[in-house]
Amino acid sequence: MAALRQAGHLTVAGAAKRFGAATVLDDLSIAVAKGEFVSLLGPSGCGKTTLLRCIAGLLRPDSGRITVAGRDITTLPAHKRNVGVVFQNYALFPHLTVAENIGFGLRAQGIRPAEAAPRIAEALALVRMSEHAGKPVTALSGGQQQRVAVARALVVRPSLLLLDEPFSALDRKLRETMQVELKHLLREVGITAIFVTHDQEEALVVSDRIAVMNAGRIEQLADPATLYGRPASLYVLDFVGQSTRLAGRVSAGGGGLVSVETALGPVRAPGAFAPGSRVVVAVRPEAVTPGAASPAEGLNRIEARVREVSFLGSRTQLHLDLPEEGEDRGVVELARLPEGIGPGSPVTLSFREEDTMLFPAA
Amino acid sequence: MERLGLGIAWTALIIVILFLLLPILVVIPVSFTEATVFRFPPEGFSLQWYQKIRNVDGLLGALWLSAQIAALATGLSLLLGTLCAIALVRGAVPGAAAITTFMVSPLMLPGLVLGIAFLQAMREVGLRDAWWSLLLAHVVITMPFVMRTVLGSLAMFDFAMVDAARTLGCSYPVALWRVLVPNILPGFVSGALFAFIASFDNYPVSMFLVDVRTKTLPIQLLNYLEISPDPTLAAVSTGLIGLTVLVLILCDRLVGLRRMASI
Repeated sequence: MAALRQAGHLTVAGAAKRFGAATVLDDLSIAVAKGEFVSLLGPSGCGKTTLLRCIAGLLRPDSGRITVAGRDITTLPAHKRNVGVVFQNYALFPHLTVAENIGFGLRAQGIRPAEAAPRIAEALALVRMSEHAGKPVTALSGGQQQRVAVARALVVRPSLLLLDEPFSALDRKLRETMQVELKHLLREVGITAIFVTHDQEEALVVSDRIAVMNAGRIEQLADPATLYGRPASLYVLDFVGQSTRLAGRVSAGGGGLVSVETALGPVRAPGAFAPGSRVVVAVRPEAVTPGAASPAEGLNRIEARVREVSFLGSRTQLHLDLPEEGEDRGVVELARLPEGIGPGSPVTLSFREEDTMLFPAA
Repeated sequence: MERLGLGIAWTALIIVILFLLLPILVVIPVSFTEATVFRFPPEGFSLQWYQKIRNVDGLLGALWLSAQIAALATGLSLLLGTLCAIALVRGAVPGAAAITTFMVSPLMLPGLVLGIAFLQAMREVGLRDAWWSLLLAHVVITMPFVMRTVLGSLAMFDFAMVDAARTLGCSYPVALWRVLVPNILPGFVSGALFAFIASFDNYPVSMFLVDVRTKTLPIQLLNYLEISPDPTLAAVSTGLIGLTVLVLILCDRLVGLRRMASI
């Protein structure tokens, strides 16, 4: 896997793109292995859609190189790249039927109708749309339209599939079903896929690896568990999942563990910071347990006051009253709300030192 | 009060409809009259005025010229106008809004002004041929009609479809032809229809550009009216009304009048 990744089915090397004064891609590089699902995750304006359009050939980067399967495609026009794209609102052709939409690419490539028909039928079956073949696409539901868009992109056997916010047009419930369904389908086809999304939950569900993007650069590229458990920066921590965080100052270092003074008490965490450095202490909501656990080695304890309680069904969120605004933010998730805890009540929280993360203060 | 107001509006509507339709409805029976003058109600029934169309000097030639100019000018406007509209909508053209207004502005200019301007301009560049002068001027006359409807259709068109066609193996021009053209067809058809009619019955611009041998239908008709005001003109008009109805039916079959009217 590591060797494959190094070779890279898709590689982007040093891509840059400017629109006027704005730098949208800033010397960006990424390598994606064959069959891998990678998400480009970031807020709007971070350059993720621009990167996707550069890979598809709909935009040309100002500098840098793009290769697919070892072939340099940087200057190849979109229609010669054989890169499939599922567009945000699917961009189905309303003047054609479902089957004609799927057959569009085959026809454009000059494949004879007799040869195209079985491939269209196969693609229809793949996305379970065979019985809708003759319908106009305007008569389909959102989920069905997405399946047609996927089939239309896959039927030409692209070397790569790009998906631009493919679930954003669907309502929440359907979105969750389609995420799993599409991931399974693409895995079966064995295609390499790049998802563009601003939804961190979606990225966690569909990807083998996630590239968190910020201002035209990749902030961190890692598998979902690493990204969530060991975010490389405050930006990534902020973008993926929730956390409790406190501003603090390092009081002592050594032994791989540093001690930090915070407004809610001292905590210890793994890291390498010089005494006196200003840091942000962060812990994921589910790593926190309530109650005055018996003092033990390797456990941090803080005292706080509950501001608000949100019941979310499978879990309950406590929003903590924190002394300072700014970096401080307190969200704790519990499987069950302990008795006697409500808005305004004091609470003792403990979490393991190894679950505690330290970042340099911005 | 509401009833009264609505009643007035209703009455106005009926009067206006009658006013719009009556002249057209009068012309049809008059064309079948036996009398030699333009008079309503018609006397008897005959087809002599239809037969006479062929014998009137220059009438059929003028009809053919007008049809030629209108068809060619409309076709050129469709091609050029669509390309211009795409550039204005997609090309990040500086001052696109101002240019758009400018390109539909001949709609608001009096034809006389345009005609004099053309006469002057053609003389300056030394273009003396009436046919070419008429064609050029009529491209300018028809362009705003095409621009208006095509811009309207493009505003509702999702250009991601063109991108989709490109990633599926179509070059940019082919993608426009296979995806953009069929989807803005109603805009094309209604734009073309208005443009054709605007060219076909244009008088004020054409009258500066025609010569003795090259006369468009409206000019030839008016000339004829001055010499012998007989019901031949009613016969020609009835023929044109029939043609218009036929074209509208064809358009309805092709793209639907409702879709065309909504643009």
